[in-house]
Amino acid sequence: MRRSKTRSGWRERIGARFFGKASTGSRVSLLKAGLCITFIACSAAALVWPHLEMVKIGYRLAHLERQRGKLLQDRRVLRIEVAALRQLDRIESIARKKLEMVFPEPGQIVYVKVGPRSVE
Amino acid sequence: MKQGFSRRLIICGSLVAFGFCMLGVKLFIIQIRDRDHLVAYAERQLRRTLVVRPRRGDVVDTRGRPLAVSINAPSLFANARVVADPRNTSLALKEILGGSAEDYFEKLNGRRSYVWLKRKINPDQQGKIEKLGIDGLGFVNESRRFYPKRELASSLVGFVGVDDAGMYGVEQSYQEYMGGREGRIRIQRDAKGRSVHPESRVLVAPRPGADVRLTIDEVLQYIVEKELSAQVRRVGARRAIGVMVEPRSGRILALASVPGFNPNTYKHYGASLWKEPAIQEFYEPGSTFKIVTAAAYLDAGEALTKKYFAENGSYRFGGGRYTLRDHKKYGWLTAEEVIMKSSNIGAFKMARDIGKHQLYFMAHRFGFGRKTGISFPGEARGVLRAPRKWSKTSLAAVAIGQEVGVTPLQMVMAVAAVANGGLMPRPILHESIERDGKRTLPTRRPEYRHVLSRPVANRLGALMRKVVAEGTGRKAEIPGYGAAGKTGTAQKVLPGQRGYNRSKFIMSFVGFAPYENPRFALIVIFDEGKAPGGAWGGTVAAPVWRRIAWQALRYMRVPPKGARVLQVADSRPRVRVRANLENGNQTMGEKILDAAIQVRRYLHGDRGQSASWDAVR
Repeated sequence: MRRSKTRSGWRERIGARFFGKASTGSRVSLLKAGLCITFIACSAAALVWPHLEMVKIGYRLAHLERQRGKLLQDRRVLRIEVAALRQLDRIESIARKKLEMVFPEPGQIVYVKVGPRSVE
Repeated sequence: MKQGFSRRLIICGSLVAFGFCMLGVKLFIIQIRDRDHLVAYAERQLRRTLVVRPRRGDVVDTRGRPLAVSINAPSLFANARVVADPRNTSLALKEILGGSAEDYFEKLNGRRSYVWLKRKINPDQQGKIEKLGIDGLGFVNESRRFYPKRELASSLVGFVGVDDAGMYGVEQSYQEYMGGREGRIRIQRDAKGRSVHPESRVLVAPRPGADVRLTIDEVLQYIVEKELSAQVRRVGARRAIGVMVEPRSGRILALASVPGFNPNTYKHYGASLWKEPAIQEFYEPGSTFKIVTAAAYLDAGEALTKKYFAENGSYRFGGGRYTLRDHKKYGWLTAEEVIMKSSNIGAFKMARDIGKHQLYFMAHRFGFGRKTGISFPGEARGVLRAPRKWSKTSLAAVAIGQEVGVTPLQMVMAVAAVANGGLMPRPILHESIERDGKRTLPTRRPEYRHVLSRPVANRLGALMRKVVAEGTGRKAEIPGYGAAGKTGTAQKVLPGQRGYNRSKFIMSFVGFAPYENPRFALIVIFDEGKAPGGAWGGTVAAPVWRRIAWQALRYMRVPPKGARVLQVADSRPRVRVRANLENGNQTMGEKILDAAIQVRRYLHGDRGQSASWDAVR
């Protein structure tokens, strides 16, 4: 009998809290508990969020670094290609055969003397 | 009913309690007993130490044109224990990488957990292999060296081995700077093995290799190699060597040996081609060494007008046991004519007048028999024996450039000293060592050695000018500039025997130009070969010397006498762009940066540095 009373008291209290039949004091304490839980949740989120952001930025950085590495590699490959294309025997061969250019005779050369400011 | 409920409650409670007990035990095992082991395991799984290989520095010419460049190249390895189907994998690899499928199969079919399949493949091949998605295959990033100019300056630049260590030439001598330092970085990985960047920690900072800027000029090098190659083909020479030096500073402008090799595929060439004969080998110079004889003669205070009887082309000495020959019957010659006509008999008599010690000391002062101190591995000293070791024929032999061994570099440096008024600079091969475009080592200032007094050097230079103007070196004359030099034709030593080969010669010409204001000293040497006018230094080497010198002077923009020179007015205004920036038209960011520069100057003081954006950054 005592047990059933206790059980019904408990049900009443819970019911009152959930269905608004409780006293004003109970409502205030319920609100406090809610605020407390919200605060804890927010704090946890604030604690975790920067870490997640850092990881996200980390992935982005790693990706950008990979891209940078690839671009640098491309640049170096292109530099090699340019250097190979600028081989002087190749250029001379093109000049002589395709463009039919010849070396000027000593008398055909005009030397241009420029002032120091033009060389700057 | 009540009893049953209680029993079930007790059973459930016991099970829950047992579960908690087990959990407690497990927690004890994880947290206390196996803690250290598990922490280490997690560390291994989560964190990884990466070895960051440094990029090897480039080799560039004096104007920054690349001669050797490194790029990343992936190397393919396999864990043979993991590869499920070695047969099909080896066939697929053969398709992509070429090579033998059997070789791949042999490697994949073993039990080795780390086996190289192919090193330094190209990125396209890597992409194709990755698309296959075969477990057990992996890549390691390595560095691959490219020599975009191929044969150009190949024996000078050298090459690197598979492990990126310099093996020959500049690659070997500057390994300390170009190699860089390996770094170690600890990264944190996620479940997919990706790096979580902010967690990475640099254990040892990697240091990329420094770039080496040589004093070599690609165009001058090309001119020398081109002309040497053409003459080698024309006269059928075994090989040719050319060295060009700036007399004032000792900077080596070109250092060529023909035939060269392609350093990209160096294994396809004989090891003899890998050496740099201009520095690492010596030869008997023949008549070009008469410059030393003449220098010793002038230094001893003898007059060039003194007459010597050059006999009738043949002179016996040492009690008639030894014979010295000229290729012509010269009769009486002045000392000047002896050098101009390159008389062996006359040169011997000049040397006899001054004595063997004077001749030896002059050769020693020029640096023969010693290393020049150039930063290049395996430099040869040459051969110059002390007078006490000389035989009865040695004075005659040394006076005409036999019984001595010189490197082409030593010979051209001797002439550079004459061109430089008697001061011999130390040869310099590198302009600077640079990292990220900034010099890491201060540029070495030229070092000089006093070899000749200025009057003696001037008289010797004038004598060499006469050799070209009127003597044996006429084919080296460059109209409008004036050249000075000396021809040389030396019989080759019979290998492994005493005596000389009468049909094989080393033909050379060494000199400087322009005579009045020398811009370079140059030596060209041809090993064997035949020419219509006879195999002489004056017919084989001198014309090549002239062609090289003329093109080089034109490239250096040195006008000849009587050239048309147009004066052009300055095209650029004196006002600098920077001034405009400071006077206005600045963005807000630039104004803030300028203010920051001013603050920095105020706080740290202006230590003579000009304010720059980089200083703040």
